[in-house]
Amino acid sequence: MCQTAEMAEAVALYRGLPLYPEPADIEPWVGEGLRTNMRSVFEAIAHENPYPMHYLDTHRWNHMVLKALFVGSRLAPIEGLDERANEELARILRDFAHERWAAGRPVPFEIWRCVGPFARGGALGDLERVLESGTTTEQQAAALALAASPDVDAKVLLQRFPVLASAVENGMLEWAGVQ
Amino acid sequence: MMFIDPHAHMISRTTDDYEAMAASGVVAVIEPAFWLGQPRTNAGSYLDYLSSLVGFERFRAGQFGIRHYCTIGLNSKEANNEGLAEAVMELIPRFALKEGVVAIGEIGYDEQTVLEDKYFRLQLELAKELALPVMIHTPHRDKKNGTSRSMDVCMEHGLDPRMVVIDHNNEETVREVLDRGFWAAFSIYPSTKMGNVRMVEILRQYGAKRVIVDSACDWGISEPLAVAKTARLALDSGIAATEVELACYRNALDAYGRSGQMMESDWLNPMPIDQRALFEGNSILRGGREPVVQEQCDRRSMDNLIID
Ligand SMILES: [Zn+2]
Repeated sequence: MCQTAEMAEAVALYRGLPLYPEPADIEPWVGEGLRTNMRSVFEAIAHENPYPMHYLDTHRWNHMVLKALFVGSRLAPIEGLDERANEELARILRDFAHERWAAGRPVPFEIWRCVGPFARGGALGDLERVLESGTTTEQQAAALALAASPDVDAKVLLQRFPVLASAVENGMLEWAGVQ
Repeated sequence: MMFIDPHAHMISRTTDDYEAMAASGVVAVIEPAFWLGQPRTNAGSYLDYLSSLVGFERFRAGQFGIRHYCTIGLNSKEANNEGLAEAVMELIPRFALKEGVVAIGEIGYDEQTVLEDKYFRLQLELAKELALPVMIHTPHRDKKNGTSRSMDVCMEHGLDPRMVVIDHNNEETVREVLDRGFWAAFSIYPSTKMGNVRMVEILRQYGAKRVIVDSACDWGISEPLAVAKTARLALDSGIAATEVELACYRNALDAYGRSGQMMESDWLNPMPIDQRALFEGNSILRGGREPVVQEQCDRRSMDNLIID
């Protein structure tokens, strides 16, 4: 069935991932689904599906998040996005942002959600750049990322943008509200 | 001006594309073995794919006056299916020394997994043994790191950087690739990875030494005229014609010519186009069309190109 699936069948098969017995054994098949060029198939695995959060190793997890950015998928519907954030992903996403900036192309605002908890040093410079020259949405994302950083310098930087800082502080600004 | 498109998946393109490429000045294409947009599930379909690269596709290109070369390899995406990969690795040496095969490629990393690494290294060893150039597909995701790592692995296996083309570069990777002595290829994709305008800026900043421009046209949104259009834009932007010729023609010939399988005389003294020819009994003609039969003459011009 997996080998002969047409597109809708593949979507249906991958939607069922959390229900199958021996979930760890089907990881190669999931890897194949994540390499697809068909966005609907990719999203059947990546979005609103608890399987990746529980069974993908960090490397594959990071590549799934990256792939979502490359195929134009949102990150918010990925289950476990905050729980599975990690230092390596933050580094990769910052490289990605620099690549896009060098090419004069937009950087999806959602990446800062995964960078925030590890933002220090150069990452703060990146967020400063977004706060100074980004769109409203991008500025909101950068402010939330700074608020999630463990670095005291992040707090100092955020205070330079008092309107955003207080919106984060009093809970008016949350990731769910950034569109 | 004559052009080479040293990275074009022509199997996915139409005869209109071949016609337009020939008209824009493309004299030769190199078709790297890659995946087909979805994974093959057995080695048999891989075997047929590789034989169409050295067979029918070469014939089809010739029918439009374009010389067709190819590279042979197991791509990084399909390297992740170990059963398939093992079987395909048996096929690679059977194709690698055929006429018109100018490199092992495109190989390298996609997600930078353990299996990708394993088959990348095995194929580098094979290329070294066969004294063939290598075409490296750098990953689209985690690119900067993946590009550095690809070059590290080549050095570790003792490859000469002048035998290795690092493809799909961008502004963030170009400097290291050139500094380390590798060929730096750029795939010009409309609106995404590398546009014409960005490419011209790179030529202005880094010059054309060891820089190669290609279209990487395939089954996705891509531009088979990318090489000719980039050349036109570069000339119009004041880049010297000698530099444009290096990036859009001569460097590709120099790099892949090291295979001994590709030389200028292949297209300077070509067979005349004769669409009455057959490949294993098949013609490209359909339904009683009049075949084009033409002596080699000036068929090409890159004027009238629309650059967007
Ligand atoms: Zn390619």
